[in-house]
Amino acid sequence: MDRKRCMKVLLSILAATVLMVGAVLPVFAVDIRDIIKVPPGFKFGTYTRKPWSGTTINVAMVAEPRSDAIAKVANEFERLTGIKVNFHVLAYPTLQEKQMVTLTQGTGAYDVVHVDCVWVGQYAGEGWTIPVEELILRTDHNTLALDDFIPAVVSEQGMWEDRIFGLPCIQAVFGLHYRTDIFRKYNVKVPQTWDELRDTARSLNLKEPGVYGITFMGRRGVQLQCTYDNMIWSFGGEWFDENYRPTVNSREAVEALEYFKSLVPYAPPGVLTYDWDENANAFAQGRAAMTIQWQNAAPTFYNPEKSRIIGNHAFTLVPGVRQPDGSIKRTPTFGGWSLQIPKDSRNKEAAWEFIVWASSPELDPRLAYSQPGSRFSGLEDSAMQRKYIEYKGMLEGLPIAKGRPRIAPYSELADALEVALSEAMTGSKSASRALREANSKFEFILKRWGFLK
Amino acid sequence: MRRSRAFQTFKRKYVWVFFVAPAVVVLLGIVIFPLIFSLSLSLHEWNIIRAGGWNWTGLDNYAMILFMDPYFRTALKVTFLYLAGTVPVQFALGLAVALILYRITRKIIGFLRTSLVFPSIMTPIVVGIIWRLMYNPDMGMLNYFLKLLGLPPVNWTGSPLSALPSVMMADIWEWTPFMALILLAGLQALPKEPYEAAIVDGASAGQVLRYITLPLLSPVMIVAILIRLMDSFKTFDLIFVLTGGGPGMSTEILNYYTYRYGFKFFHMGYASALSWLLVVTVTVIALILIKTMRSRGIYAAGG
Repeated sequence: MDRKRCMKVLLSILAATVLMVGAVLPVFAVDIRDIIKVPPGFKFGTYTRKPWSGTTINVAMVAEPRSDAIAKVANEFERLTGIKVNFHVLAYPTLQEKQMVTLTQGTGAYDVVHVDCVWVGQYAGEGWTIPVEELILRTDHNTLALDDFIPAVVSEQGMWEDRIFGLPCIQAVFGLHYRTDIFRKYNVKVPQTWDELRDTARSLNLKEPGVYGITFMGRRGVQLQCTYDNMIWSFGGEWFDENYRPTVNSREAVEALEYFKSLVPYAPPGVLTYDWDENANAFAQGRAAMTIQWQNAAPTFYNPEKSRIIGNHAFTLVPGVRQPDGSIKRTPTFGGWSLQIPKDSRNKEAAWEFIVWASSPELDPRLAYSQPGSRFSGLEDSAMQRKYIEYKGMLEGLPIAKGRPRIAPYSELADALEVALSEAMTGSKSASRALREANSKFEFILKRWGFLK
Repeated sequence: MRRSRAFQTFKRKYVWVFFVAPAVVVLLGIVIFPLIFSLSLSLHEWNIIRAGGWNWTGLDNYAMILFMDPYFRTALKVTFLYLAGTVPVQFALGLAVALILYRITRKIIGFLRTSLVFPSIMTPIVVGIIWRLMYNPDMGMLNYFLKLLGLPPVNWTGSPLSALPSVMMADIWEWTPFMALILLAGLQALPKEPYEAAIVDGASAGQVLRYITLPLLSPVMIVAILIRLMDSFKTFDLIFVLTGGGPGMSTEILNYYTYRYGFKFFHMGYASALSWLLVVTVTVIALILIKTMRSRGIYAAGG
């Protein structure tokens, strides 16, 4: 009897232990402390020791000027750490395909991947990349300078569900580029609201021979949608509500689209075929007094080979909607990339060392000639602001910028919206009808992906 | 001795296997296997982005395409409009060019033939880019000439009404020479006797064309139309470069639609189902054409 009791107690203790370990173990199983191996006392970013000397890491990056600029100075990184870097600088669609294939197959082909902010939900959410807090704790504060990044940028590009997955690298935000000479000549103030923007476009339209009021990216595609996002959000619309119920046919969304369409008469005749290049060229060739475009078009405008408006243009915040309290609600569309470490990488520590180096404040000003960084220190620097016209506008725009949905079906939703925008802008359907159709397509997509019951 | 004879018989009987095998293996590998693979894929739901492999869904993909997908019908309509606007025009122009070239017997024919094939041998992407530059509403060549003639500029690929005809125009430019070359080859292979008989009977040039040339040429015509029809169904590059399916859905043909589902949204099962519908449609059209050809007693080379 006694023995039996004893057994019972023992068994229950055993069961409880097993249960407890079982409940806690999964938490530890995914913990990064099991995956990374850092020598005791080592700090990333100090470059005092070279524990991974001789390793080669493979870094995938999108084909943009800043990626090339980083690749150009990578020999310095090799000197500091002994880590050799293989760059795979790929065009956007190729990068998307290749990263997706290698990450889903778990081949470990890349040690660092370049993640567009709209992919974060896919990469971090599906567990393709690893959270980096443990690595951050072991990194030298001055080299990392996490608080020097614009917070909105880190959360939009590098974070998913309250965890950090990567550091920003390559930055973009929408704004208004305008011609300072024309504005001065006709004594026009920089428009602050959408209505003022249209009035300005109307009043400046063809005042100068061949110079239209405004130009924008009107071709069916992601740029048209990003331009419209500036408007729909500030008008108070959203793609869907917090329960993923699509709301792209709301009154606000329709109003925003009708407003957008009302700009067409003051734009060059071909504006609805313009993509990034055509639009930047049109403005650089002096064919419009204003353009709503990413800040990253500015280098085209001060490039003497491509521009006729050097010294006569500026970059500022996108207009917004005046609120009842007198303030103006502006929602510049946000874009950018982060560097992240795939789960299947075999050199995670070396990869982190690279990410820290590539986004360090020391390197930032030296890469500025290619594309702006994401740090306060760089964007606030008055010498840099003088040299790079877009910096001031970026500094104002980035903290209030709004990101597009980052859920996995983003590109499919975006495409449905782009079709509707294009149909309404070209006048083949009314704004409300086009958006109503987009809304039902949204519902179809969100249901298929399981976001909507 | 006996054994060697048996081996000889075996060799004689089965040696063909070694000649045929490579072709069969290649066909199996690059045609039959992908066909079966994609057919099976079309009955599954598989999205690359998501963890988890193929999920059996039966005919769900097809049902969704046919009854729920609002854009499938638009894409189908655009595809048929595109076919109707390109193949007949290419055929008519190609026939006219072939008949003219057939008359030219001087040395210049070599030069003409060579310059004629240029559009068709150019890389399709290059063709697309050239036309994109020409269609540019502000700096393009076409609008420049319109201006010289005092006509208003046209927003070629930017307006929903003119976008599809603009793509068709580029397609016609690219593929008419192909049509002309096939028909010219057909013309040159025609027997001389019927023509001599016609001259003896005093037939007019029009009668010769109507009652001799066209009927004799019809097998070649059908083959040429068939090839172009199947090719047109699969048009991708021109759309990709010129319009990207826009404005709205006005130039989104089925093949481009399928591409976006497969390689932009990564719904592999759905894209496979779409391509199978494409295959079925093309096959049905081809069968109808071949049947009319046979029923009229027309023989086709090798058919």
